[in-house]
Amino acid sequence: MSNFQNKVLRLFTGQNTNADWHPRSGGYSKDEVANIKDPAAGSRKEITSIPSPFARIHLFENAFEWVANHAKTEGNNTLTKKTAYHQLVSDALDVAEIFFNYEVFNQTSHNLRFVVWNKKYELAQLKLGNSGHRLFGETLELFMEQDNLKTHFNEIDNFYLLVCNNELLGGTSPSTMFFAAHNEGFRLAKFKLGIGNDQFFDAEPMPLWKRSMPFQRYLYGLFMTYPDLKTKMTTLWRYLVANLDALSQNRNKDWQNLNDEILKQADHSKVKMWFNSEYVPANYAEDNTGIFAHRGIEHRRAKADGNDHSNDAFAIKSDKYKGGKVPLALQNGFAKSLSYCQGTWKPDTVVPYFDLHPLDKRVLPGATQIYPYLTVSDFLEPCIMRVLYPMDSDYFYDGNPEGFSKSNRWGGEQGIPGDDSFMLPLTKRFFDFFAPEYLSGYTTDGRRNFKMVKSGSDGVEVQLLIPIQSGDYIMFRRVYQLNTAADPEKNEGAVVRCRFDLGFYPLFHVDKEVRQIVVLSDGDILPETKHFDYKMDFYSHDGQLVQPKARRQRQDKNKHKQYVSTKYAVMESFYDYMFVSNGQQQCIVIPRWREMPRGTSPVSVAVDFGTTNSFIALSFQSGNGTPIPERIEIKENERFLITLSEHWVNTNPPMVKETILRTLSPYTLGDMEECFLPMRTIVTEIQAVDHAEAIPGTNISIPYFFERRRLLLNEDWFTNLKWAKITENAGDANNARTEAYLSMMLYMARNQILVRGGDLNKCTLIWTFPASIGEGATGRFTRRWNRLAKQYLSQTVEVKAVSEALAPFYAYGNNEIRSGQYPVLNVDIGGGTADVIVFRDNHPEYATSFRFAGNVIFGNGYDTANASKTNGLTRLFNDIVNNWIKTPGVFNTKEAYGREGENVGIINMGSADINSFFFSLENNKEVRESNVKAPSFSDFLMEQDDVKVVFIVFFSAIIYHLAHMLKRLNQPMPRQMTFSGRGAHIINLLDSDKNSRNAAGLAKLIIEKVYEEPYHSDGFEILVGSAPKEKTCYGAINMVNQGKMDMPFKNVVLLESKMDCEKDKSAPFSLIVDGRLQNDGKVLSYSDLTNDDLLSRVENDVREFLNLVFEINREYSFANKFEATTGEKLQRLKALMEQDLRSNLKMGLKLRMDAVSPTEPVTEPLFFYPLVGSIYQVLDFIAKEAGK
Amino acid sequence: MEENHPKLFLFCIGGTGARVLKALTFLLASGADLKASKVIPIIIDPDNANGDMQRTIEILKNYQQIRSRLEFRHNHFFKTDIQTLASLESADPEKGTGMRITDSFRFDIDGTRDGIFSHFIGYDTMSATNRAMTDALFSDKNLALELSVGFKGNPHMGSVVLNQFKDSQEFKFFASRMGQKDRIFIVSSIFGGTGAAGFPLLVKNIREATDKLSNHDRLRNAPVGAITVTPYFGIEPDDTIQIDKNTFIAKTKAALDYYSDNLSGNQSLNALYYIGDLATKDYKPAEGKAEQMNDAHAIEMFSALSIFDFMNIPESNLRCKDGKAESPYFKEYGIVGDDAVLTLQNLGTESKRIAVRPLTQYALAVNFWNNRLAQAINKPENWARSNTVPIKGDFMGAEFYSQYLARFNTRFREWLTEMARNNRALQAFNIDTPLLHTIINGYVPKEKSFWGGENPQELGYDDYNFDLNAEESKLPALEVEKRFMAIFYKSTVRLFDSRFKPLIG
Repeated sequence: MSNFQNKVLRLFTGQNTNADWHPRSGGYSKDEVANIKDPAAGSRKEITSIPSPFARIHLFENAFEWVANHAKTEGNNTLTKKTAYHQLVSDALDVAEIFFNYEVFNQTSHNLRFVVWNKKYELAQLKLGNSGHRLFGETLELFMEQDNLKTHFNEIDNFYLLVCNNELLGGTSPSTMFFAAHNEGFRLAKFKLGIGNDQFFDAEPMPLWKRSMPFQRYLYGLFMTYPDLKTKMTTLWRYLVANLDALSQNRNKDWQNLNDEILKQADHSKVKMWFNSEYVPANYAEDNTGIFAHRGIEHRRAKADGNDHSNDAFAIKSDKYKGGKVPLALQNGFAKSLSYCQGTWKPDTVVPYFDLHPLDKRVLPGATQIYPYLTVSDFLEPCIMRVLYPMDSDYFYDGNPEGFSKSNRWGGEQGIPGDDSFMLPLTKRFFDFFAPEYLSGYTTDGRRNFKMVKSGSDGVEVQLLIPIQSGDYIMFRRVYQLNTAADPEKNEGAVVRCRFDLGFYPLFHVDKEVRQIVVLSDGDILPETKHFDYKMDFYSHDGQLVQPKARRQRQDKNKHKQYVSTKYAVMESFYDYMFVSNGQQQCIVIPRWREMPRGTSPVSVAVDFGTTNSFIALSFQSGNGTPIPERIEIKENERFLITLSEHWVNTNPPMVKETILRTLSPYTLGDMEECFLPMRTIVTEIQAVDHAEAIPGTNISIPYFFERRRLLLNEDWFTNLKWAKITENAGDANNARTEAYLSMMLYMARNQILVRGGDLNKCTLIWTFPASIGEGATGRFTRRWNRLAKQYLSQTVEVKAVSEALAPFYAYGNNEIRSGQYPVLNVDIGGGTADVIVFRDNHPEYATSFRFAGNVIFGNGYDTANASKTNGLTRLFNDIVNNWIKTPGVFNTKEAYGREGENVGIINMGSADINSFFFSLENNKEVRESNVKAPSFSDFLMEQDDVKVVFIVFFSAIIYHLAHMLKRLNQPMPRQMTFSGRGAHIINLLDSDKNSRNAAGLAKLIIEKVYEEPYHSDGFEILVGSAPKEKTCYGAINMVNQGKMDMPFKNVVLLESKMDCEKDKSAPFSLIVDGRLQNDGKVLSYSDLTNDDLLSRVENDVREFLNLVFEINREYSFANKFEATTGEKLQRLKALMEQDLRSNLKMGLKLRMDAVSPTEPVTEPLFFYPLVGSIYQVLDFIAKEAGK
Repeated sequence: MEENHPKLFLFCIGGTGARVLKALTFLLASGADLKASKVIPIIIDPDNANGDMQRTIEILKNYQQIRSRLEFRHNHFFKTDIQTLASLESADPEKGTGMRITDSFRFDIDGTRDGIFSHFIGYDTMSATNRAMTDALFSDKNLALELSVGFKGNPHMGSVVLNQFKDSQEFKFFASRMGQKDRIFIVSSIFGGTGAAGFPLLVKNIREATDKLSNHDRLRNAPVGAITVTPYFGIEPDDTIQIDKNTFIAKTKAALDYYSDNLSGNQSLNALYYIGDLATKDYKPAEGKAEQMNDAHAIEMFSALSIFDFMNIPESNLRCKDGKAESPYFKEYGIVGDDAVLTLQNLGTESKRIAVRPLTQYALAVNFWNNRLAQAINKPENWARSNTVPIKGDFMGAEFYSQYLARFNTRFREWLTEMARNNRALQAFNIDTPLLHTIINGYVPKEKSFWGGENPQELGYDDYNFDLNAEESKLPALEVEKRFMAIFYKSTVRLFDSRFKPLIG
C-alpha cells in the first residue's frame, strides 16, 4: 500500500475526506460535473445519454451551454471549433436560419413545410391509440410534466417541426428555441440548403457570428423585445452573449450597429417598435398561423421581395450570356451607392467570396431573396497555376502581367528567369459571359479589363473588371500566395507550382481549318504532386466543348522511367481556349493562333523514303518561272511546333519539354540546326503500344533528335523500315511504323506548304521507289501514298511515283551531263539498294537495281539480327568513340550514343545504325558549336589501308557489273557516271581527289577490260554530288516540273555479269529485259533459281571479277592511287574475298527467297550475292587483325 | 434474522445492476449482516440474454437452494432471505392479491424480447404529426434498433420502453406488497442504456404513483435509496460497435446534468449514492446478449456495500413528504490509499466491519472445502466421523454439495479472481493457499516472538481441523447439511477471531 490517504472513488478531483460510504453536502453540482475531464471532448460524435425521450431537446441545451462555457473559459475563438457540440449548435442555427428565411427557401422549391405538433391534441391522440402509442404518449407526458426546471415544456403549446421532402430537418424547442434533426453522417446536407457559402447541416459548423447580420439582428431583437426569454432560454442566451464578443472582434462594425440599434437601446418600446416594423409575422405554419417560441412570443421573419433584376444597376453587362435571369455582379466593399434590391447598395454589405449554390439558388447578399449573383469565385479559381519557366507570350495570352520581371533569353544558357509565368486562373463560367478577347481589352475609362499584378515576392494579384448595367465596373480581385492553402471563402488564393508544358503542332490555321496535335507533358512527380493527373479540354468561343478527333497517352510518369506523362490530342477543329486541369487545380490557356492566308502557289512535294535516311523537298510555282526545288527548312519565326514554354528555355524537369520535342518535332530544322534533312529513317514508339490504334505523331513518331539526343526511355525504336516485312493484318506493327514515319513527313510538308503560301489543293506528291523493291511492295506503297497524301495534303492531291534511279539524273544541271553520243549512267547508291539508269540523249533507256549498297560496307552482311554489332568498321572505330564518350562535354550527343553497359542509346543498335551515328558526328550541331572535337569516321576510314581494298572491291564490282550490262545491251562505253545516294559517299572515302579522278581511272580500266577494247576518245568521268541524298528528291521534282514523268525505259536484270548467252548456250537466261528473258521471252521467277550450274557460273563470275580487279593493281597501283595496302597483304585480302563464295551466294539467295514470294519475277542480278558475304568477312578479318 | 427488519425491494437495472446484485449475493452468502428481513431483487433488463444477468440469476437460484437447507441459529452463512417478488404472494387467498406474476428475479418486460423500437411504439400507425415528432426525438437508427439487446447507450429509448413497468402486474403487485417500513433501493449505471433510463423513470413512477396502484401513497413517500454507478470501465475502441468508450464520460456528464435538473435536484430520493473510478480497464465491446459478460469489479462490491449503508440509516431519517425526501442523503465512497491494486487493507473501517469478517470466514471455508474436505471425510477427521451426525463419504457427491454449494463456490472464487485481475484490482484473498495465515492478501497475523519482536502466527490445516473438531462437539444434532455448514461457520469464527480480528480493529 503506497499511502494511507483516503481516496474517494469519483470522476472529478475534489476533497478526499473519508473512507467508506460517507455523506456529501448535496448531489453532484453542475461545476463538479463540468470538472469531469472528458477524454472525448472535442469529439465529433453526438452524445445520446440523456434518460428522457426528450433527450434530443436536452442535447441542444447541453451543446449551447458547453459551447458558451467553452467560449467563456477558453476564448471566443473556440466558437469556430468543430466538436459534436459545435455541430449541434450550428445545425440548430441552420434550422433557425431556414425559419427566418423560410420565404426565400420556399421559392427555391425545396419542398419545405411545417408540421405543428400540438401538445394537448397529439398526446390525447396517442393515449387513445394502441398500447405502444399509449405508452409513448404517457411517457412523453410524464417527462413534459416533470422536467420544467430548465426545459419549460410548460411554456409551449406546440412544437413546430420543419420538414423537407418528407424528412425532418428540425423544429422549435422551448429551451434552445430551435433544434435540428438527427444529422448522422451529415445526411441533411444532401438537401443543399444554405445561404452564401454556408451549406447547412454539413461538416463545417458555422458559428452565429459568421452568419448574416439580418438573421443575427433578428435573434437579438427577439430577446430584447421579450426580455423574459433570457431567463427561460438561458442556454441560448448565454450563447448569444458569447457570440457578441466574437462579433465585436471579428465584425466590429456590425457589432456596433447591433449595439446602437438594438442592444444598447435604452427605450424598450423603441426596440419593440423597430422589431415589429422590421419583421413581419412568420405566419407560414398550417393555415397561416404563427410560429411561437413560447406562449405569446411569436416568431417573425424577414420581409422578402422577389423581382427580376436583369436591368438593375448591378446586372452584368454581357452580350454572350444566355442563361436566363441576368446575374448581378457583386463586390465586397463596392463603394458607389447604386440601387440594389429596391434599396440602395450599402458598402458594408458582405458579399461571400464563394457561394456554393447554383446561380439560380443563390440568396442575394444583404437581402433575403433568391436571385443569381456572381462573386469572385465564380470567375477566379481558388488556385493559380504557375509554370516553372518563362511562358511564350507571343503565342499565348499571358494575362497582362504587371510588375514582374520578364524572362530574358540573353542571360546565359537558360536566360534570366522571370517570375511572371502564371496561368490564367479563370473559370469556365467566365466564358459564359465573355469571349477570350475581353481579357485583352480595356474598360471605357482606359483600364485593362484583366491583369495580373505582382504581389509580394511569390504572389500575384489577379484583377478582373466586370461591366455592369450602371456603366460602372465591378472588380473581382484575388491575391494568390505561395505556400498557403487556398481559402475561397476568405478570398485567399494559392499559387501552385506546376511542372507541365504544352506543345502545339502547329499553332496556325487557315480559315479555321485545323490539323493539329496538342501534347501535354506532365512532370509533376514530387510527393505532393505526383498524383496530379492532367487533362486538357478544348472550347470554342461560344463555350462549346470541341472534341479532339482522338486522344492518346504515351509516356506515363507513374509507370515509365522518364517520369513524365504525355497526353496527346489530335485536333481537327478550331478552338478558342483550353482548359487544363491537374485534377485539383485548373487553368485556362488561350493560344494566340497564327492565321495563315490561304495559299495560291501550286506545289510539288517529293519524298525519298530511304533505307537509312530520308529526304523531302518542295517546290513552289510562282509566276511563270521554273520552280526551284528546295529542302524543308523550319525557321525560328516560322516554327511549326509552339510550346507554352519559350522555345529557348528548358523546363524543369527538362524532360517535360524534351518529350515534346523528341516525339513531335524540333522547333527548327535546317543545315546549321541540330536537326536537318536528310534525316534518319527511324521511328520510336512507346512500349506496348496498340498498333491498330496508333496515331502518327502521338504514340508512334519520328525521333527527329536521333543521333543528337537520347531516345526516350520505355520506348522502342525501329530502323530499316523500308524493307520491313509487312503483313496485311490489321494492326501490323511494321505497317503502323512505316505509316507513322511517312505521315509525319507529309505532316511536315503540309505545314511547310501552309507557311510558304502553297496551295494544298494544287499539290503534287512525288514519291520515289527503288526498282528492286518488288511488285507486292510497290502496290502497297502506291496505295499507302495515295491514302496518306489525301489525309495530310488534300483530297485533290496528285500522287506520282518516280524511280529512285531515274530521279537524280534530273538534279544535275544541263551543262554537267553529256549523254548525247555515249551513255551516261546514274548510279544511286542508298543504304539498301543501288539504282542505275542508263541515259542516252538525256533520255532514260535502261534501268537496273541491285541490293548492293551502303549497308554492304556498314552493315552486318547476312547477319540479319537487328542489334548485331559485328561489322568490322564498327569494331575498328568503336573504341575511339567510346573513349571520346568518356570525355566531358557535348552532353546530348554522347547521351544519344549511350555508354557501354547502359541499356539505352544507339550503342545498343546494330552496326548500320552505329556507323551512321559515327558519320553523323561530322554534321552534329552540338559538336560543332562546342569546343570539343569529335572523332571523324570519314577521316579514320580514309586512313585505313586495308579497308581501302574493300572499298575498291565494292566500287569495282558495281562498275564491272554495269560495264557487262552495257556491253550486253550493245551500248558503247559510257561517257559519265553520276553517283548519288548515301552510299556514294564510299567513293569519296576511297578517292581523296575531289573530282574522283582516281576512281574514274579505275572504272575506266575495268570498262576497257570488260569491253576488251580501248576507251573512246571522249573519255570517262565520275560525278559525285556534294549532297548525294538530295539529288533524288530534287531530280524527282524537276522531272515532274519538266514533264518528264512518262518517259519509257526498260528494266534490265543481268543475272550474271560475264555470261553471254549468245556465246554460251548453257546460260540461256542471263539477261532479263522488262521482266522477260531475252532469249525465250519467259518470265523468270525466284523459284527457278535452283540450278546448280547457275550457282557455279555465278561463283566463277565473281572469281573472274576478283582476278580482274586485283590484276589491275599491277598497272594501276592501289597504293599510289588510293593509299590502299599492297603486297602480300593485298593477296591475303584477295584470298579472303574468294573464300566461301558459294555459301555466301546461297545465303543471299535464301534471304531473298524469305522476303519475296517464290513466284515473284527475279528483279536483281545474282552477281552481288557472294560479294555481300565476302566483304563482310574481309572487314571482319581486318578488325580482327587490328585486335578488335 | 430479526423479523422486525423491513423488506428491501432491490431494483437492479441493466448489466451493472446485475453485477452489483451478484456482489451483494456473495456478501450475504458469507454472512454479512444486512438489516433486512428479506431482499427482493427485481432485475430490470430487456436484454434477455445478457450474460451478466444470467450469471447473477443462476447464483441467486443457487443461493436459494442452499439457503433452503440451512438453519441460522448456529450458522450465518446464507443467512439473509433472498426471495422473488412472486414469492411474496400469500398462500392464503384472503390475503393474496390474486395476481399471477412470474416467479422470477427478472422482471419480464412485455414486447421487448424481440421486435424493433418503431414497432414497439407503433410508429407506423401514428398520425403523420406524431410521426414527425417521433422523428424529432428518435433517429432512424433508434427506430430500427432491435430491443432484445438493450438500448446500446440510448437511454432515451429506454425511458419509453421501460415505462411499461408502471402498468405491469409486477409493478402493481410490488406496490401492493410494499409494507409500511419497507425500503426501496435502485442500482443502475449512468452510462449504459438500460440503467440510465430505468432509474429516473422508476423514481418518477414511484414518486408519481398513480391512484391506480394500491399503497400508492405509501409508495410516493417510501424510503428510496439509489446508487448511480458512473464509469469505472471502458470499452476498447471498435468502430463497428455503437457503444463507444470515448463517449462514456460525455454521456455520463450529460446524464448527470439531467439528474441534477430533474432527479437529485428535486429531492426525489432519500439517499443517492455516487461511485465511479477513473482507473479503468478496457473491455472488448459487446452489444448486449450473452457476450456482455465482464469481469467482476471491486466497484461493484463497494456499490453493494451502499445497500448495507442504506439499510443502516434509521427510519426516522428517511421520511418523505409529498413525494419529496425531507432530508436527502448524498453519499460517496472512499477507500484508503489510491492504489491500483487494492487489498482488504484499503477498505475503510466500516466496510471492513461489514465485509471483511464474513468474506474471510467464507474464504476459509471455501479453502478447506476445496483442498481438504475430501481428505477429511475419507480419513476421516474426528469432526467428520462425529458420533452425532457423521459426515460420510457420499456427502460430497450428494445434491446439496455437488449441485449447489460447490457450484456456488465456483462462482464465488471466480468473482474473487475477476476482481483481482481487474483494474483497479481488488486482490482480497489467496483463496487456495495451504498457509492459511496468508489467506488475506497483505495481512499476516502476528504473534509475539519468544525472543521479542513479532513472528507470523502460522495457521495450517491441523489448526483448522482442531477448531472444526472443537466446534463440532458443541453442536446439537442437526440434519447433515445444517450441521456441516454450522461446523464451518463456527470454526471460521474461531479462526478469524484468533488470527485476523486485528485487521478489522
